[in-house]
Amino acid sequence: MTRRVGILIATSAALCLGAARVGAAPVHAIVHFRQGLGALADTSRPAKLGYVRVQNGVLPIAPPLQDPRADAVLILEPPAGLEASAAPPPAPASAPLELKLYGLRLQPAVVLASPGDTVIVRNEDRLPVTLRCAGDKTLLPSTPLQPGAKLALTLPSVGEFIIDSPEYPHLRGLLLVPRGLASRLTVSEFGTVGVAHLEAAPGVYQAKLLFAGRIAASAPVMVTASGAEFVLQVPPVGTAVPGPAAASGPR
Amino acid sequence: MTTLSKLWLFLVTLCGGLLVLALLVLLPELQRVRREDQAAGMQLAQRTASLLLAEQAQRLVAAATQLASDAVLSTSLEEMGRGQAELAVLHSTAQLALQRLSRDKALGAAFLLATDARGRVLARVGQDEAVYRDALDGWPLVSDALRGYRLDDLWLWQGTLYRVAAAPVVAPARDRYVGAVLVAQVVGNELAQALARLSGLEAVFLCAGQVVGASLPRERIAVPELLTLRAAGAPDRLTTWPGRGEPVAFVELPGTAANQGAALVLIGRSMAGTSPLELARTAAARGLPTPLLITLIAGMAVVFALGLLLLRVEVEAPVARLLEAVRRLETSPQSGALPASASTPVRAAPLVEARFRGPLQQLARAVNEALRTATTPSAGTKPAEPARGAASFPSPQPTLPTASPVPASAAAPVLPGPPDSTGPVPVPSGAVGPSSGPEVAIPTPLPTHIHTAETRVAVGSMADDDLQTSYYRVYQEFVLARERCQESVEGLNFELFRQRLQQSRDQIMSQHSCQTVQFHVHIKDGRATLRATPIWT
Repeated sequence: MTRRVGILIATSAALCLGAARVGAAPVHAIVHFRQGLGALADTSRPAKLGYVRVQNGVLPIAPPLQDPRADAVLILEPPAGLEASAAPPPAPASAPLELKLYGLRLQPAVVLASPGDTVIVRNEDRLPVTLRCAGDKTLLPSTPLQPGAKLALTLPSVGEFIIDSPEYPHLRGLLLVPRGLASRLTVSEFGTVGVAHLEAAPGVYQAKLLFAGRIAASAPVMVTASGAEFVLQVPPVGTAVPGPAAASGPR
Repeated sequence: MTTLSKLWLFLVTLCGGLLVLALLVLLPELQRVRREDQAAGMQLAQRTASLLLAEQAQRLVAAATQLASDAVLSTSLEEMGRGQAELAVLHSTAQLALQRLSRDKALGAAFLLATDARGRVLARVGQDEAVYRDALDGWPLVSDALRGYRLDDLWLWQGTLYRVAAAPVVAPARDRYVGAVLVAQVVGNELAQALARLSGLEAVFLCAGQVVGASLPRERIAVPELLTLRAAGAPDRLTTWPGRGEPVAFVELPGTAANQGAALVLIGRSMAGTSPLELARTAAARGLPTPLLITLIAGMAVVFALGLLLLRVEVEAPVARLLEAVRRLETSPQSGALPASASTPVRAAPLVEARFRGPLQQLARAVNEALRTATTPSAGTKPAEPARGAASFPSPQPTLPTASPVPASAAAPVLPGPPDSTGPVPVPSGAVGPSSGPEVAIPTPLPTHIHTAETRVAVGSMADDDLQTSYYRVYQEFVLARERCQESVEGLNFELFRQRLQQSRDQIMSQHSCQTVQFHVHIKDGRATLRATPIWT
C-alpha cells in the first residue's frame, strides 16, 4: 500500500513537472444524478422543518422551484501539498460577479470567483438583511444591507466564503474561490446527467462535486496528456436512495 | 419521682431517640425519592410539551389546509399566475377572502398570507396588509408548500417567534398548484402559560439568545445563565440550575428557528424549600416507606405519646396541683380580711399535705413549715425550731397572760369540756360544718409517733385587727394540728372558724364576766380540738 502511494505521488509529481511542457488536456466530467429532483432537494435540506410535513393528497409533489443542480460545481483540486501551478489560471471575470438577494434567498447560491474578483451583493427584497461571513468576518459589514442597496466585496484569496444571515437562518450563499479548477455543470434535459468540461494539465487531481452547499461526491482523477474522462454518482453508489415520494421526477 | 415515672421517662427517651434516628435515616431516602419523582415529572413534562406543540402544529396545518381550499383564494391565485387580471383587484379580493376566513375560523392567527406559485405574496392579513408582490420563496416552508406539502415551521420574524403552517392551493381544475396559504400564530407568553398550567412547571421560550415568551416575569429569568446551561450539554436533557437548585429541562424546537437556538425551557421547583411533610406525602404516593417501617414508627410514636401522657399524670399534674395550691396561698380570700402588719407576716392557709405524694408531699410540708415559721410573731415569741416531723412543729407562745383556771361550767356550753377550766369549742370543718350544730371536730386516731401539743392564743379585748390576727393564728394552729393528726381539713374555712370563735368568746365573756377568752389548740389522743379559757385579769 505504501509502495502504491509512493508510486502514485512520484507519478503525479512527474506528470505535473511534465505538464509544464506539454500544456493543458481536456477533462470531461459526467455527473449522474441517481435521484429525482425532489429527492435531491430534500437531501439538500439542512434540517427538518416543523412537526408536520405531509403530502396534500390531491396532487403529487412537484419539483422544487429552484433546481439545486443548476448550482452544482465540479472542482478539480491538485493533491494537497502540490500547487496547481501546472493548471492554467482561471480567467479573470470580465464583469463584476453579482449576488442577488430576492425572496429572502441568495441567487445564485454558489458564485465561482477568482482571487481578487469583486462580487456585488444587491438587496432586492423589501426588508433590510444583515449578512455575515463566518470564514472572514471582515468581508461583510455588520450593518444591515438596506432594501435596494448594494455592496461590493473583494474576495481576498482562495477559499470558500459562506454567507448567511443571523436574522434569516435559511438564507445561505457561497462565494467559492477554488484552489484548483472549477466549472458549473450543464444539466441534461431530463436532469439526470450533468456534464462539465475543463482544461487541466496532466496530473493527479481530486474531483469533487459541490452540490447544495456540500461535497456530494468525490473521486481521484488522473489526467494524462490526452486528457481524462470520469463519472461521478450523486449520491455515491452504496448510499440509500429515498422512497418514491421524495423521488419525484423533474418538472 | 416514682419508679414508674422513671421507667416511663426511660421509655419516652428511648422511643424519642429511635424516632429521631428513624427520621434521620428516612429523610435522605425520601429526598432521593423526591428527586427521582421530580426527574420523572420533568421528563413527562418534556414529552407533554413536545406532544402539545406537535398537536397544535397539526391543528394549525389543518386550518391552513381549510383556508387553502377556499375557491376565491384559488381563483385569485390562479389569475395572478396567469398575469392577465389587474393585480390590485386580485390583491383586494384575496385579502377580503383571507379576512373572512380568519374571522369565520376563529384561528387566533397573528397573520395570514397567500402567495402565488412562485412565492410572491398576493395578500396579507394581520401584518403589513398593504404590502404584496414581494417574494417569500426563499423560506423552505413556502417552497415546500408550493411543491404540495402541508407543513409547519417556526420563524423568528422581527423579534417574535411564530409557528407558521402552510398548505398548497390547488387550481380549481385540480391540475396544478397555484399558490400557498400561510397561517401564523405567536409562540409567546400565552403558550408558555398554557404549558405551565399543563405541566406545573415554569415555561420559557428562548430564541436568538433572548426570551420570546415566558410564563413568569422576564426579570426573573437569567437568560445568560440559561444559555450557558443549555450550551453545556446535550439538547433535550435534564439538568439542575447551578446555585438555584431548580431542575431545568430543555425541549429543542424544530424548524428554521432551531438554527437560531429556539428552545423551550421548563423550570421546576427547587428542593430546598420542600418541607419534610411534603417529602413524606410524595414518598407515600410511591408506597414508601414500607408498611413494616410505618408500623414500627407508628408503634414508637404511640409509646412516645403514652409515655408523655403518663409523665404528665405522674409528674406534671401533681406539680401543677402544688403550684396551684401555692398560688392559692398568695391569693387566699382570708388574706383580705387580715391586716398586713409586722406581727402577721403571712396570712395564708397551709397546704393540704395529704393531697400530695412522695417528694411533692415533702415539698408541701416544707412549704407549710416555712409558712409556719413566717407566721410566728417576732415580738415576744421564741424563734421556732426547724421543722422535723409533727413533733417539731413550732408552738407559738401565748401573747396574753395565762388565764386562771375556770370551772368546767365556765367553758363553752356547746361542748362537753374537760373537768378543768377549759372546754372544747365547736369549729367548722368539712365533716362538721357550721350547719351541723355545736359539735367538736370529729376525733381521729392519732398515730403513736405524733406527740400531744397545745397552743394557747388569747383572744380578748383588743383592737379588731389584733383580734382578727389572733383568730387567724388559732385557725392556723388548728389546721396544722388536724394535719398532724391526719384529720381531714377539707371544707375548713377561716370565716366560719372566726365566726364560731367570736360567738364562743362572746358567750363565755357574757357568762363569766371575764375580760378576755383564751383559745388554744389541743391535741389529745390523736385528736385536735379547741378549748377556751376565760381570763379575768
